[in-house]
Amino acid sequence: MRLTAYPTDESDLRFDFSAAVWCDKHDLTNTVFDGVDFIIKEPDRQIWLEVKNWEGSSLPAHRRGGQRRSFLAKLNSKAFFTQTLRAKFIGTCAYVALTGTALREDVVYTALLESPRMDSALMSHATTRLRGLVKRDNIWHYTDGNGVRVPIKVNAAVLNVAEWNVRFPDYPIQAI
Amino acid sequence: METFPHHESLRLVNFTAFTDASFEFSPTVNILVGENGTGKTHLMKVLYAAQYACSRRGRADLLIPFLATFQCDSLSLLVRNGVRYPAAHLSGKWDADDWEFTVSYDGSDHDSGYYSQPADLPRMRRPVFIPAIDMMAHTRRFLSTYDNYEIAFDQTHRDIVSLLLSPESRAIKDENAAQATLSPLLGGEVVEESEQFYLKTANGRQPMQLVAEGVRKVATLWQLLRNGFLRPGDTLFWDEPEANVNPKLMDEIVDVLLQLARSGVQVFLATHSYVILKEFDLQAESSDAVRYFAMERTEGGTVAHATDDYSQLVPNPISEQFDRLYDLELTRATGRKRRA
Repeated sequence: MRLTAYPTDESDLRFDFSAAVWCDKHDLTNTVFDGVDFIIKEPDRQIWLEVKNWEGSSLPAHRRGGQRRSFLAKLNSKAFFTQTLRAKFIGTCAYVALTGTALREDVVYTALLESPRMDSALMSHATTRLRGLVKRDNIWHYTDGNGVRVPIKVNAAVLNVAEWNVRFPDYPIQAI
Repeated sequence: METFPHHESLRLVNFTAFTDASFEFSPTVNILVGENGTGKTHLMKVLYAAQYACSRRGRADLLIPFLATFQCDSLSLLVRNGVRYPAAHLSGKWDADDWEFTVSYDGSDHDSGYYSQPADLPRMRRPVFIPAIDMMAHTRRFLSTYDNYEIAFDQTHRDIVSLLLSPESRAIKDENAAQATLSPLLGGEVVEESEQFYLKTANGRQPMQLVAEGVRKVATLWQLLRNGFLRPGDTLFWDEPEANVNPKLMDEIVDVLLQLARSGVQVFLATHSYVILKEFDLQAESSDAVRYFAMERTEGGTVAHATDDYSQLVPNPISEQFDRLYDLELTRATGRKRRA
C-alpha cells in the first residue's frame, strides 16, 4: 500500500518518509509472502526496511527485562538471520518478481533492531552476518532492453533508531 | 557475601606512566581497560610486589620484590621521567592498614637511588599473578634456571611456575565448582611429572607444550585451583586472560572468575578484550560489584576513571574501535557517511 500521509506508526515507532519518491507499506501490499515492512524509493535506489523493536513502550516496564533476554537469545540464534531476516528479503524479492515490477535499481536492505543491549560491536557483527546472507556477487541483476545483464548492487545494514537517523536524516524515525 | 582482607586503595605518584593517580578497588573484581602504555600491568605489579613482600615470613622488605617484579636493576628507573623532584611515592591500603614505598634518586644518576618504607607493614596472603605469556609449557628446570642465571623473565613468571609445581592442597579434597566448570574445556586433567606438565585424557597423555596455548591457560587456572591458591581471602592478578585464548572459552572463564570473586577472592584483570568485558557485563549481577577502570593517557600522565557500570566506561578504546568499524561498515552498506 502506497503511503500518502505521514507520519505512520509501526512497532511503537513513528516514521516519516515524506521526503522519499514514494514509500510502500510493503507488508500490506505483499500478502503473498513474508516480506519486509517498508520499501522506500529514492531517485536511484530502494531502501528495504524491516523493523524489530524490543523496546516498545506498549510493554509494561516490568516485562522489558524478559523481552531483552528473549531478544539476545533470538539475536544469537542462527534462525533469526537465516530464516527470519533472510526470508523477508527473499519474500520481497519474490513478490517484486511475480508482480512484474522487476527491480532495476540497487537495494539497501536495512534491519532496524532497537534494543539497548546492541552496542556497536554487536551491530557490526549483525551487519556482517546479514550482508553475508543477502549479498551474493553476480546473482542480482536485470536484463536491459538490449539483452545486457546489468548487475544490481544489494547491500545490508543492521541499525538502531539513532544510527538510522544519522544515516538517513531525510526519513526520521522516533520512539512513540 | 563475606569480605576478606583485600586491597582497598592505591595511590601512585610519579611512578612510570602515572603522575598522580588514585584507585579505590572493589573487594571482588577489578578490570583495567586502556590503550597500550597506560600502566595497567604496572598497576597490578605494584599491588603484587607489595603483597608478595608482605606475605613473606619475617620483616617485610619491599625493595627486592619490586626489583624482581619489574625486572630492573635500579628502582629509580621506575620514577616518571622529567619530574622536577625525582621521587616516586606508592601508597596503598590493605584491610584498613596502610603501606607505602618511596623511591628517589639525585636526578642525574639512576644508580644513586634509595628507598624508604615504614618499619611495620600489614601482613597479607601470598598473591597469584598469571602473566600474559603462558608458563605451563615451560616449567621443566625453569626455577633452577631462573634462580641461577640472568634470564629475561620477571618474578611473576617465577612465582606462577612455583605455584603450579606446588603439591596439591590437602584442603582441596574434591573437585570444586570452579574446577568443574573448567574441566570440560580441558577434556581431561592436568598431571605433573619431573616438573613437566601433561594433559591426561581418555586417549593418553600429551606434554603440555603440544597442547593449544588457550587450553594451557585454562589448565593454569585449573591447577591453581587444585593446589589451593585461589581460596577465600586470596588475590588473583591476571594480565590479559584473552591472550591466545579463543573467545569461545571466555564464557566459562568469566563464570569461574565470578565464582571465585563471590567466594572471597579479589580479582584484578588487565584486558584488551571486548568479549571479556561483555561477558562480565552480561553475567555479573549488581551484587557482584564488578568495577571497571578506564586508564587514559594524558599530558600529565595516566588518569583512571572508575565505574561499576560497563556502559558508563569512558574512555573505552575497545568500544571506540568497534564504533569505528561499525561506522565503516554502515558507510559501505548505506553509502552515507556520518555527518561531522
